[in-house]
Amino acid sequence: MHKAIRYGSMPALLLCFSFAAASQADPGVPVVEVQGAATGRDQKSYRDMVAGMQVFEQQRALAPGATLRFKVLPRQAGVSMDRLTLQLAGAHTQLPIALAADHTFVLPMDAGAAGENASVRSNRKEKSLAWRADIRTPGLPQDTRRLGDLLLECKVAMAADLLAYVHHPINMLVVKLADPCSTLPINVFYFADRPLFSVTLIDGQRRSVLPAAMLHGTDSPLMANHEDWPYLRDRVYTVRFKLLYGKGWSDDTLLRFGYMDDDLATTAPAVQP
Amino acid sequence: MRGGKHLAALLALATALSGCASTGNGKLPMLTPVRAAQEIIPGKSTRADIEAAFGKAAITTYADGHEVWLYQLGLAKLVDSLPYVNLVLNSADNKKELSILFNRAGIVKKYQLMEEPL
Repeated sequence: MHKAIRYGSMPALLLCFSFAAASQADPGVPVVEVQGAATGRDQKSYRDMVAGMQVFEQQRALAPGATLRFKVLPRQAGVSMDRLTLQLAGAHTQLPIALAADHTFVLPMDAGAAGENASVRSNRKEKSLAWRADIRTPGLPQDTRRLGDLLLECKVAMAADLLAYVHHPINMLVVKLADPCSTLPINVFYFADRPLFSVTLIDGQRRSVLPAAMLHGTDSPLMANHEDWPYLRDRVYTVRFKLLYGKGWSDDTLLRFGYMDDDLATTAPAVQP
Repeated sequence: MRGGKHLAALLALATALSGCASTGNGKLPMLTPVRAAQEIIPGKSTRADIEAAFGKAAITTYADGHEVWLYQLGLAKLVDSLPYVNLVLNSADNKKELSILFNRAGIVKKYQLMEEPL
């Protein structure tokens, strides 16, 4: 029951407490890296992440041919991603996790670690990292993501309790819903690879521009410390799956990104037809 | 009871924000893609040009020096930050919006005019 409450609280926080803030990033305040004791490290429950892996296996038809990786990104200014390490750590488990150059990783299945309630533990201080699922159907055009892949990432993130959020009693209202990503009108935050200016939805011959209001998060920094995206807000876009699927966009819909740093020659006005 | 007062205050604020109708000088409702292409010239138009044409925008400056100016017809983006209120109101549902990207030198790099919500 406790687990269900935690999962259920995520959509409410995303829905109701999406306080954005650029002001959280203060380059003058370095973030201390914790090299010693595990207390206070940025870490996730291995059991929860295994639950996310199970959701992926159950619903992988949303992203045909894709594999499940997880990803970490810096959550605050001053967090160095150099020499970042992850390990599966429990009372009797100490297993290094290979981290790719893009800071993605695959988590092994380890019944023993799950049994002893191990953690996926970083060598960074708590609230240093943003954690996400990373699911990509192979063969997609450059600078695109696929809607079905993103939906599955959301479902895995909910089950794995990856996203940071503001805890609030209203979250109790949604805990009984089994699939908040699809059934609630929530805004789910994603990161592009570079600062974004526009996102175009493409589904066959159908095209539409994502409102600019759905880029870069929200404007008010009321509780930014409880969220994990404000530091990278120039890369953030939000997806409302219930809205998009309700309007007939399919799993195969591509989100094509236009970046702030695209060359001028490639930046024709993005006027919606 | 206390929560009820907060909710009432938020709704009042949302009402006030929605009453703002739009950002800028009021030109956005009638702006067409053709007119936008005449008024906004990537690589040439400056911040002053844009402000003269469309009035004051909601401005966000990013760490790399880029700046995005957003004009919205309807709710201000601030409403998206209001707990409870954002359960039912969202500026992404606005009827029309214009976003303009400036480079570090303050010159328009590109723009996007959205005329229909998703």
